[in-house]
Amino acid sequence: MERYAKPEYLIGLEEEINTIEKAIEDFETGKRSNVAVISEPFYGVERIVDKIESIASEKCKRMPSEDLVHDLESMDRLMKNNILIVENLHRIYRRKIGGFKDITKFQKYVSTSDKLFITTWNLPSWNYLDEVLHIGKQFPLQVTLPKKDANQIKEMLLSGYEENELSFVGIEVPRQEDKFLKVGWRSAFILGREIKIPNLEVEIDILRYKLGQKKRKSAEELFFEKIARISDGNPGVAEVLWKAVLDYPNFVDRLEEPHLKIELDRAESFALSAIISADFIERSELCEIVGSPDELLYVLSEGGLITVDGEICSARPEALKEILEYLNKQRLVW
Amino acid sequence: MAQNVTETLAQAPLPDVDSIVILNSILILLLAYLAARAMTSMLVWFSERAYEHRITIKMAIPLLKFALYGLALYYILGSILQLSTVELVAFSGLAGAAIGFGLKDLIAEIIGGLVIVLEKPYQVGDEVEVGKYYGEITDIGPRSTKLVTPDDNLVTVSNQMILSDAVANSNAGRPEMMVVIDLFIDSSSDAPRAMELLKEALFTSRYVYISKDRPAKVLLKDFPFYRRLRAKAYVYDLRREFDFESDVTKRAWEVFEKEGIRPPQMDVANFSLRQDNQE
Repeated sequence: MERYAKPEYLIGLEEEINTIEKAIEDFETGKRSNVAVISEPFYGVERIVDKIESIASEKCKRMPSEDLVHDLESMDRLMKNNILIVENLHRIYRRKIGGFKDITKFQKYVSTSDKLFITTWNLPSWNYLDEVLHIGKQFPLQVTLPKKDANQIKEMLLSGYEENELSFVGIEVPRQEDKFLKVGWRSAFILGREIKIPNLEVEIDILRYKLGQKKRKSAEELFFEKIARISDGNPGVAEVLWKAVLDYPNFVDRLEEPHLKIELDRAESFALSAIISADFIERSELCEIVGSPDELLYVLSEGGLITVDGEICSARPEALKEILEYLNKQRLVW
Repeated sequence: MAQNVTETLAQAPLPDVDSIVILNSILILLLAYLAARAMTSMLVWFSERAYEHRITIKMAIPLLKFALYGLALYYILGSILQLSTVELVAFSGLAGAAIGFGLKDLIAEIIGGLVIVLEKPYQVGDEVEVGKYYGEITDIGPRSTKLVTPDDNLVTVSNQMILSDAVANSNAGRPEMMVVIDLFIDSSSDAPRAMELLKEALFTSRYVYISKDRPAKVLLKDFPFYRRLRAKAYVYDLRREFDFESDVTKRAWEVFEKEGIRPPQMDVANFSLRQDNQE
């Protein structure tokens, strides 16, 4: 029987939840401090918002940012709740002239309101907006959701399964007799001609086993280390990878580390930053930001960086780590 | 004392300089030159992949070059010519005389290069203005500094001249650089709105770099026939200075036109006529 148990995202976030809980308690005693919950794209922040909503119970109203900003004044009159949870505020701005209209309207609304705002943002957008619009002033309590380590990811993904319910298949454990130094060949182009040059590869894990610095690990532990490494501790990405390998009641190690070689021109990098800053974006919206997006989307898609599903463009979760590192170096995300 | 030194110098055997020694010396200098070229290419390649640390890596190039040439000279004098300390002193005396007569400018340039490397008024990768030239420093050599202008002209300036001239450095070792963009609008146009739009054009440019220490701002100034909007912001990589300027200017004017913000209407003929009538 096929079974998929939802991962428990709150593992490792006790401190962050307590901070938000305290902000709600303080608000009830008259001390207001608006909250910004900041996370990487794909983090799965909605699961954390579910928890916050349950803490604030009937005193709060939860809504997507697009609905709130659409008709702010009438919405304000209709709302009796004193605590507003507004999700995905990075979706109400675009990096184009005229693209800050809604977010500045929302900033003004927050500045004049006596409600408590608990908001969620994606990290690249928050950093950008904090530099250009100083949004940190409206949200003095900033809770950045941390990356999870391999153990936390394992605990999170296996939380809904019984012990020994799943079997691990195809995971190689390094052996004492394995060589830590491998000689391979790689191609290089010199003066237009391809030549093969020797390439030494050091298997760090095997070397560390041999040196006795690392204790031997089970196949299961190695598998979750791999998931943590590819996802860079992002639980949402880890879940995407997990779904790809889970073949209940087995999970098979068919994950490949992306090792993307990203070389983009400025226009392509800018388009990629626009996609990552909004989580996902419609082709028409992207067109308003970068002009004609077809060629750019083709390059990004062929490079394994994004997926284009009809009109919707979004980054590939498994490429997120390398995309963010690249855009950071390009100074397109902060 | 001075007499003793002169006597010692006179007694010191002259190094045996034959064609082999000369050939070896040339070979060593050639090797040093090739090593310097290879090392420069390697560091430039590496620095271009290090993004924001580009200039920090390039800083090492002139230092290593000087070290290589210094080592080559030391090797030639010490091993090939096999000069003793006394002979080195004698050589220095001869070199002093040569400098005094013919090589004064060359030595001044080399010393200038050394001072530039140690004092760092600019580094490889910086955008500087020297005399009437403006461009990116691509090489600091023992004798001269090379810069590439925005029109892709390679300008070679002697190190001596740079030391004696004023040098304006736009980025001082950082990859980002402030760019000033002036737009002129008609006095009757909505200036506050124009400032707002220009600021958004800066914020949303693909070339901008903004941080707490690198803010962007727009200033307004009145002139008799027009108003000047001056945008000041940092471009993420100084080599994209003109792309940044062009991007902001183009997008700002597109939206100005939509919102009825016009360029200056230079009604100079009527103005002169009015002036004449008043007189």
